[in-house]
Parts: sequence; C-alpha cells; structure tokens
Amino acid sequence: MIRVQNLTKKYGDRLALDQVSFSVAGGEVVGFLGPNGAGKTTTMRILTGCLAPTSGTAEIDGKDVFEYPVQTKEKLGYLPEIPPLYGDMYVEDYLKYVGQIKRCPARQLKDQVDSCVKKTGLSQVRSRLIQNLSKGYRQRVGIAQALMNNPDVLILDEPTVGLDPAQVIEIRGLIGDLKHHHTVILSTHILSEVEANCERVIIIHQGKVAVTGELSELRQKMHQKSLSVRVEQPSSQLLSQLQALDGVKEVQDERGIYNISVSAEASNVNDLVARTVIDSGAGFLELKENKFNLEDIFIHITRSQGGGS
Amino acid sequence: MQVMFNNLGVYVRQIMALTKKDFFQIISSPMFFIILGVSCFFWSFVYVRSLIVFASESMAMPVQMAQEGGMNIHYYVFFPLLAQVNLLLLFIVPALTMRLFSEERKLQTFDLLMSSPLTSAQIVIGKFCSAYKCSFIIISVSFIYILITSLFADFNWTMPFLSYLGLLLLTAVYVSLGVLASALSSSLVLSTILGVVFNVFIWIITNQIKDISSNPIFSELVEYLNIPMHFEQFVMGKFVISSFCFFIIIVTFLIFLTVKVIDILRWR
Ligand SMILES: Nc1ncnc2c1ncn2[C@@H]1O[C@H](COP(=O)(O)OP(=O)(O)OP(=O)(O)O)[C@@H](O)[C@H]1O
Ligand SMILES: [Mg+2]
Repeated sequence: MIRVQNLTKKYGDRLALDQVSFSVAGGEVVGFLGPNGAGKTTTMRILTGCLAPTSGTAEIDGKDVFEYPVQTKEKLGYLPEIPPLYGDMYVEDYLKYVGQIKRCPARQLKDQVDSCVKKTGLSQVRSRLIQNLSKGYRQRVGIAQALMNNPDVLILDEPTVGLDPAQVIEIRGLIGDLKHHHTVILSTHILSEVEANCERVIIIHQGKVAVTGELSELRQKMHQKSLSVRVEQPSSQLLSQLQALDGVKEVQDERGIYNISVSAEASNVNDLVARTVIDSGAGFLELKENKFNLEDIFIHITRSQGGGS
Repeated sequence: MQVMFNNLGVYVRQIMALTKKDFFQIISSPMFFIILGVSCFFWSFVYVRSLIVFASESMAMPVQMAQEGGMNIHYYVFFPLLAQVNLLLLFIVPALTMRLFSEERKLQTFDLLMSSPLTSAQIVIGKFCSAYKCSFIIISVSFIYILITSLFADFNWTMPFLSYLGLLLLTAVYVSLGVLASALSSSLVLSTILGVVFNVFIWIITNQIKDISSNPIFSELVEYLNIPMHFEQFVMGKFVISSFCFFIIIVTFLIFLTVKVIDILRWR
C-alpha cells in the first residue's frame, strides 16, 4: 500500500533523511519511532505531498505521490505534527470545509461530519470556536479532520499528544477499529502505544531506517533474558559464585540487587540462580525475570548507533 | 463526457469551498470593518467637496451651458470619487490579501491544503476569488454615492457604469498582485508592503521606462502595458475591447505566476 524507496531529503546542507526505504502492506498498523530530530515528520510530509524529497520515490497504492498527486491524496488522511486548525472557525464549519476540499460527496457531508465528531468525542464542542478549545480538544479536531474523507491510508504524526488518558485509550481503540480496513502509520514517543496498537515498527534514527520488523520478531531478535536477584547480605563471594554459573554471561552488583544477563540458549538458569543464592545463606528476598520491552529495544538501537542529534 | 462533467463539478465545488472559507475569514475580521469605515469617511469627504465645487461652478455658468454640461457631473463629482476609491484600493487590497497564503504558512495550516486533493491552480483561484469578493463589497459601497447622486441629478449612466467596470478590472489586477505578494512571504507585514509596492509600481512604471529606448516597437509595447491608460479608457466612457482583454490577460498571467510560486513552495 505504501512504498518508500531511497528517500533522501536535504534541508540546505543538513541531511534529514538518508536513503530511507520501507513498505507497508494494506491493512497494517505501523508504528514509526525515533528520537527527536530523527526525520519522522519529514518522512510523513513527503508521503503526504507537503514536501518534495531531494531524491527517491514515495508510492501510495502503487501510484507515485508526485506524479499522481490528486489521486493519491484522495485516499489520504493526514494529521500533521501541529494540527492544521483555523482559530476563527467553528468546529463543525471547519470539518465541513475539510470534507469539501477533500472531495467528500455533498450528500454525505453532513453524515460524515456527524460520524467524525462522534468517533473523536467532539459532540460537546462542535459548535464552538476552535481557538477557544483546550489543547486536547484541538488535537481531537485534528484527528477528526484526518478522517473526513474516509481515507484508505491514515498518516498520524503523534496523534495522542496532549490527550487525557481516557481519550488516549479511546483513540487507541479508534485506531484499533481502523485496522484491517485502513492502513495506518503513526509516529509517537509513547512506546506502550505502539505495543498496544501496532503489529510492526519502523525505527528511524538520524535519518536512516535503523530497524524494521514485526514487534514479536523484534523481541525475539533482541531476545536476551535478564534476572534480578535481591538478597539481604550481598557479598563478593556470592557474586563470584553467580558469575561461575552455567549460562550466566555477566553479573552486576547494584547495592544488594544482582542484575544477571543470561545467554539465550541456557535453560533452567532461574532454578540454578535461586539455589545458589539460598545455599549461600545470604538471605534470599526476590527473584525477578526481566523481559525486554520496546523501550529497551529503542534505547539499545539509538545508543549503539551513536548519540542523538 | 458524463465523467468529465462530474469531475469539473467536483473541481469547481472544491474551489468554492476554498473561496467561502477565506471570504468569511476576511469579512468576519474587525480589520475589514475598520477599512470600510475609514474608506467611507474619505469618500464622503471627497464626494461632498466635489459636489459643492460642482454646484458653485454650474451656478456661475449660463443656463444653456449648464444644461448641455449636464454630463459634466461625471468629471466634477464622479471623477474625484473614482480617483479616491482607486487610491485607497492600492492600500486596501494588499491588507485584504495579506493573510491568504502568509498566514496559512505561518500557522502551518498550509499542510492541510497541500495534503488535500487540490491542485495549486485551484488553491490560487479559490484565494483570488475570496479576496476579489471582499474588494467587490468595498467597491459596491463606493457605488452608493453614485446612486445617491441619481436621486437629485439626471445624468447618463454609461460613463459611471463603464468607469466602475474599469475599476473592477483594475481591482482584479490589484488582487492578483496581492495574492502573489502573499505567496512570496510568510510574514503578514512583508506581504502587505510587497502588495502595496506592486500596486504603486504599476502606476509609475510606464512613465519610468518609456524613455529608456526610442525603438518604436518598444514604445508600442510600453504603451500597451500602460495600465493607467487602459483604466482611463473606461473612465472616459469608452469601452475598448483591447483594454478589456488586456486586463484579463494580465490577471491570468499573474494567477499563473502565483501558481508557479506555490508549486515551488511545494518542491522546496
Ligand atoms: N524546515 C526545515 N528546515 C531545516 N531543517 C529542518 C526543517 N525541518 C526539519 N529539519 C531538520 O530535519 C531533521 C528531522 O526533523 P523531523 O522534524 O523530521 O524530526 P522528527 O523525527 O519529526 O522529530 P520529533 O520527534 O522531534 O518530532 C531535524 O534535524 C531537523 O532539524
Ligand atoms: Mg516530528
């Protein structure tokens, strides 16, 4: 559905995107991750035809975004980083206006406004001026705007910024509903959001695609278990005992808590560790298994490739 | 055929939506009413003064001369009024057009237009029409003075009508220059100043460049590009088809130029 090939963007001398390539299949929900200044917004603006790449191509539904701008944009909903709102318009008029310029058929316009208002929880504020809305409500208007033409492809740049937790869950549910019928790319800094919504992530760092893959696959690739053991009386003797165990790669002592890295192949390490600690008589308090989450993956990738920009 | 017709309908409806939004944004701003109020103040002043001058002059004339000079109300009263309306439009129009593109770019709402299925031409035409509608309202208000005059004086309607046609055509040039100025800068102040400079420029340019070369083709060209001259044709009550075409061509060209500027913005 979306295919990006060798996308490069230079702002003057500054290289913002460097040979970015990825593709997204129809019906997929993809999380677009990266530290500040990685080039997420730049990529999205190119995809939506707001910005031209220095080189490379972007395709939506097999059509180049710059060769067939009107056809591709007809299928597109875009929520920019800063919601494109006019403060001196009423919410309802604004949504109508967006529907009209996005070629929503005149007969369906009213129903479409109603359904978008309902989906984004705007019913109470639909007849208010946009400039008088709170930030969260403005963000919702921005999301409603992106949905006005029933887009096949939805590109959301940090959609849940400024929303309250209840609304975050609602928007998450909304994106969940869009799954399978729509293709969604969303950028965010909230990693739990990606874990909740997306099957796939694209992590981009310093203008390059660092990692792309299924979330579950990624976890596997990163698979590296670690254990934390808390004891009453830590001792250097216990430390060396733990280090000597089969399958243990490294042990770090953090004031009574031993963080143990375990090699992927090893089995029953938990059992061994527990037994060693109990036998040593140091006073066993707690044994915890740490699973790597997206945050660790994210930190690992962005660190290992040099500091942020 | 049916498909093409439908497409055209969609195309036009999008432009109308753009126009409507910008039109309401301009006329609902306090600035619009301030402009209208200040303009009316100036126009009333000029109108009353020239009416007094006209009255005293025709009083001094022999009866017979005054009768055949009935049409002179155009020169004595409408002419100064038109000059005043024109003078104010030089500054009003850039104030109306300044926000069309500048503000969209500054507030980053331009991405909405860019990511919508709109061509650059649709965007520019939509914005042009909205500012033109607003200018039309202002010009219509100035026409009230002519209507009031008709309550107590008999005159030939041809000249005022043609003058106003000329004014509407000239304003189309101002508006297209203002839209261009707005597209060139994302600062409201700069685009207003740029618009005024453009407008003043077209009034002085012909006098400045006509002495550059004595080449007959050059002077012919300069003569044809002389916007004040074309406007005067209409004010004098002459409908010259080439002048009419001239305005249409200039406006089309300026809109085309603005479309190119927007395309460049897209590609930057
Ligand atoms: N208009 C511009 N002119 C010059 N440089 C720009 C421009 N826009 C972005 N950049 C640069 O391009 C790089 C990528 O920016 P981009 O906005 O795409 O990052 P991002 O991933 O969206 O970051 P964030 O998470 O903060 O939103 C940054 O280094 C930024 O400084
Ligand atoms: Mg961003």
